[in-house]
Amino acid sequence: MFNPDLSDYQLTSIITECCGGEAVVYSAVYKPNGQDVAVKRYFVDKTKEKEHANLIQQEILTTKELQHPNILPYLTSFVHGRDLYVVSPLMSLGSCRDVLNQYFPEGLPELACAIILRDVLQALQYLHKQLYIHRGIRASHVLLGADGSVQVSGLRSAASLLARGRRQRQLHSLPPPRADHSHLIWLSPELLQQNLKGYDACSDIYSVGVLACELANGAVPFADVPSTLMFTEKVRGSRPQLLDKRTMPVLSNTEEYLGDSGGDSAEGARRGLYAARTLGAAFHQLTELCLQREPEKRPSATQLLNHAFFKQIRKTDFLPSLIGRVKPIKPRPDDMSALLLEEKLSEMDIEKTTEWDF
Amino acid sequence: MPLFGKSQKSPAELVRSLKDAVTALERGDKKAEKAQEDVSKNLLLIKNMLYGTSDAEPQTDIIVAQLAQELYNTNLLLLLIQNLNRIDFEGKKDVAQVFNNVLRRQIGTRSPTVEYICTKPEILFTLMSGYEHQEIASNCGTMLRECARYEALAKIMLYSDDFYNFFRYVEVSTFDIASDAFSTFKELLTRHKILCAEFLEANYDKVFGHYQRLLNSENYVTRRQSLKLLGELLLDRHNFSIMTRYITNPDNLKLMMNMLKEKSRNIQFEAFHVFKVFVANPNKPKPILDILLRNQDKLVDFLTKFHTDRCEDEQFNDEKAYLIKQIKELKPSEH
Repeated sequence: MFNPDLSDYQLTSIITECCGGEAVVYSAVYKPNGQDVAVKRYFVDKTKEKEHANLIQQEILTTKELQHPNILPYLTSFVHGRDLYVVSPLMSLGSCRDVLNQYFPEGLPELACAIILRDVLQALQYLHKQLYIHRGIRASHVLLGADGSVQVSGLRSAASLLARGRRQRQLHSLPPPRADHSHLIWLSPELLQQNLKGYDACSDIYSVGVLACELANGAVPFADVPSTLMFTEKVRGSRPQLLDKRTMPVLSNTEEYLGDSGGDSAEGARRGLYAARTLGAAFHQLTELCLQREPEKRPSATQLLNHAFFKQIRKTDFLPSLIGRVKPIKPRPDDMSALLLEEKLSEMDIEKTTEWDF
Repeated sequence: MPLFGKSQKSPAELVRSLKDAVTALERGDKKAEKAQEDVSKNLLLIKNMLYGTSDAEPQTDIIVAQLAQELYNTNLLLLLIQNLNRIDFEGKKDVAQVFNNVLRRQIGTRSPTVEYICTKPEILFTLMSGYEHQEIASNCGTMLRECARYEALAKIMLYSDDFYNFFRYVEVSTFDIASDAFSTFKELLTRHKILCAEFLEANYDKVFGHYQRLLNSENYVTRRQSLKLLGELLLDRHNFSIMTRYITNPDNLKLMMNMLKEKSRNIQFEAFHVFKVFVANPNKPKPILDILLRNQDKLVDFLTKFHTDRCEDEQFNDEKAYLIKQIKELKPSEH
């Protein structure tokens, strides 16, 4: 049991901003037992979206319904001042997206990808059995712990196939929108297509395919193209790929790839890296299976967990040592005290208000 | 023999073994572990009968009818809800799913489960008290909101003494439980327009006495949600006489004027939507008119500067302009 009271939490550093600036995640210590936790603070008064509070409420409800070692659990939530705080265990290596950005811009080692994808698929196996579709699988929603744990978060976008005591076979609605539309990149063609056939759990499997490319390549597929083009490409059946010797012939159509980015040297070096490496055939095959245009052709999470790609994982493999350059989140007392002081000051500035005459 | 094999139990057998298992669990003797297992197993079997599985469709109507009839005859729904805290994590969810499915049963225009619950209102009261217990609050919440969709059940809940516990539940310090309770509370007060209006009229003093506490809550989210709901209630045409009564009380006006100046912009905005009703009222009682007149210039000045950045919200700007005009033109009454 964690107390719903901010004074029981000692905030130690800012981990990240998230949800398009609507929230901040802190690392914190739960004073009664000294446990490290993550505290997500939503600025609910600053957002104009009326539905915003409902979304957070829905996210908490969904998370409370789920109990699985690969899904980030919920500990408690409470209101303090005009902000909402949601407490969960601390995943001190951060999200896969943070890890890629800071330490592995060229992508994670193949074995690390295997472990992460296996754990994500285990989470999805459970979610799908509970008749949920996650709809938000992406590297920023996969969190890594210093103990080697991998947990899926981002359940705000999840939807249940059970509604009002009935089971639906398909869903049709889009996941809740995000200001920058970035979430569309991971969504399956059938979900984006918004037709009468709708979509089901197979849609998450497509997202796993995009995630596989993201983890292995470091870059997000389709990130540089306009959403409309990304959409038509997907619907036409064009698939993102793992970049290595097989998929990136050294000479051909270099210009086409470099088109927008202007071909700076870092990008060039990274392309060199891709062209020089070889990823396992099983990894390529798994990714292709996930990214098939026709949802019914994609294997289920359970089937994928038996794929040859995961056979390379041994019991002794420890994710944090595979990605050894990643440093866990450390308390930064100076940052925190500066922040807290700033907040105190802003609370103190008393606005000039009208006094009513009753 | 496989655990979930083909040898299917009949609905009567399933209900019987589930009931035995729950009873054993309730006694909590040394066989509790086995009982827990049996409860989970039988709940899952019943759930699969009702919902089907990934490779099986739900059972035929006859089987489902038999199952429902057995559930009524044995009072198993009540027993399950009373022991919800003893059932394991997945089992709790299965109870809610079985309940919600059976609740929706229809024979022509009749809803037999709703009729059954009307004869066993303890089911509703036990569900409502679920908000007292953290570990079952949201399971009870999903069942309660389904119940609230049926007018007969909503009526029992609204007119019960237990309804007033909601004013406490929506303010508990854990956000998830408070907000779950608020969703149910709102559903009860808004879903069935005529029922709600009659209830609010008949219990005006008691309900709004309690409601005042929510508007003054220490908890920002409670204050904001309850203010927004108040606005929705007052502006619903079914609640016309309640609105008329609300806007004759000068204390209510003072509260809204103070909320207009709250630090939170969202609260200011919601307060505006209640405040406007006081001003727009063509028959303002003297105490209301006096307050508005005493603050005439301040209000005009305040409203002119109020949320000027909402330029895209046409309706808001029209309403604001209308209020400013009304307040400017206020004159002491003749009577």
